[in-house]
Amino acid sequence: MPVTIRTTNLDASVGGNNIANAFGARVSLGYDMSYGTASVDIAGDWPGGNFGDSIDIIVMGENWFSGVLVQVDYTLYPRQITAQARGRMSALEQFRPPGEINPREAGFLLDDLTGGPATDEAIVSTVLDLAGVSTNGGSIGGTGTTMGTVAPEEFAWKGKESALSYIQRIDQISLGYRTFESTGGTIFRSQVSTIPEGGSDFTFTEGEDIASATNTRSIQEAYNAVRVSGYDKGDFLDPRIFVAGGGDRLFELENQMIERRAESSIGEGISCEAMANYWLNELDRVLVKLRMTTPRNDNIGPGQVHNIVASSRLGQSGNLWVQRVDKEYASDGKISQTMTYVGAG
Amino acid sequence: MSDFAGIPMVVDADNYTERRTARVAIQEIPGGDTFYIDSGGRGPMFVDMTVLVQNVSVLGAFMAQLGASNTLRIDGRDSHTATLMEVGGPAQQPDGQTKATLKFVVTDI
Repeated sequence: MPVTIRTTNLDASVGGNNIANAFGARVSLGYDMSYGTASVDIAGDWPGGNFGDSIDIIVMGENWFSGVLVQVDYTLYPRQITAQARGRMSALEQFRPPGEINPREAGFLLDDLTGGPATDEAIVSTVLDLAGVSTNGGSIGGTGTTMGTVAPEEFAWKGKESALSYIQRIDQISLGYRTFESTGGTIFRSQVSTIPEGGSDFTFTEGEDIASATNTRSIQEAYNAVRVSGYDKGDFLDPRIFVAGGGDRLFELENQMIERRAESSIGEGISCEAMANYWLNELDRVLVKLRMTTPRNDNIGPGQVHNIVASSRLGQSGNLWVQRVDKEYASDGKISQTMTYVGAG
Repeated sequence: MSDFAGIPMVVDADNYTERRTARVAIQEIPGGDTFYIDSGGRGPMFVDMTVLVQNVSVLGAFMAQLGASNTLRIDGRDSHTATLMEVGGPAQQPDGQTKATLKFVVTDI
């Protein structure tokens, strides 16, 4: 009988000072979340520390979370304090283009932000730098496509638009690249498509390390044609609209930041064709949504690819994306990680 | 003679229990015979006992110690710092003595 026996331990700190009386912690990270969140349960007195201080959660040597203290909850009886933390990307939610900008006006053009047209990864990196948010060892990837040559006004960072909202707007036309927070406070911008390519970061196998799970396979959100329309000014000779796929279940997408019709069209920028093909690949499939809990304490973060070998009970064998992970260190020392996966069948 | 906070009592050896549990979580893996056992350390030691005290005034003295941390001395055992959690008991006997049930949590081990 294979038994894994672990003496678990939680090392939580606030402002670099260990919280000796911490007895539980929860962490949520996902590329469908704006930023990571975490909480630490503390017995007895507040250990010290101030709002904005770094909160770090390490469980059995794995760095689960690094963020900032934003809220403290007190319970009268039994006396308990819960420290609530957010990932550093949360700062983007309240950061707006600085200076005396009329909110009705454009705000920052790319000329102001990056010195002119720039790739999506350069735009996102510049906004992160401006907001003082470090990738903390992560990396910012992108399409490598220069944007803002045809429709520069559409790439303006509006005066009343948060940095987070602006980055998400850039992500929407970046062929699946998403900016998200992972374990240990790292920030990544990675391409996520429904069908993972390449190898897997971890393998989980039925009967070995999957404690509970559900899996759904569905075609209810499937489409077999995609029509994308883009910037609609001055495109009389080459209207920016493209249809991919020949089916009758048509998915419609419109975005004024899409600057070209086809890959063969002149100029620079994301094309309707590239977007249509990306979305067709995303939508013309059986959608797999799997949620699974494991006792394993590996360094699991969103954007990873996991090989789930559970054909008997879950009808799944193959790679899926980790969309979200919820980690818990319970008061009895129990460690669990619950992943929400997406993929295609 | 045993005592708590200097309050004397006679411990009924047949109704004396020391108990302590470990914080252990067991996760069973369906579809196989694999288990994950997480040990998060030990819980505190609890001591439950029935005692005989001289009169109801002594019982009242114990009740006054509820929630207090003090020294618990039991004949034939090590003394410990303990917190009195619960006091209860039936009506006093004809001779004035009374039984009491005491529950302690030991805080120095």
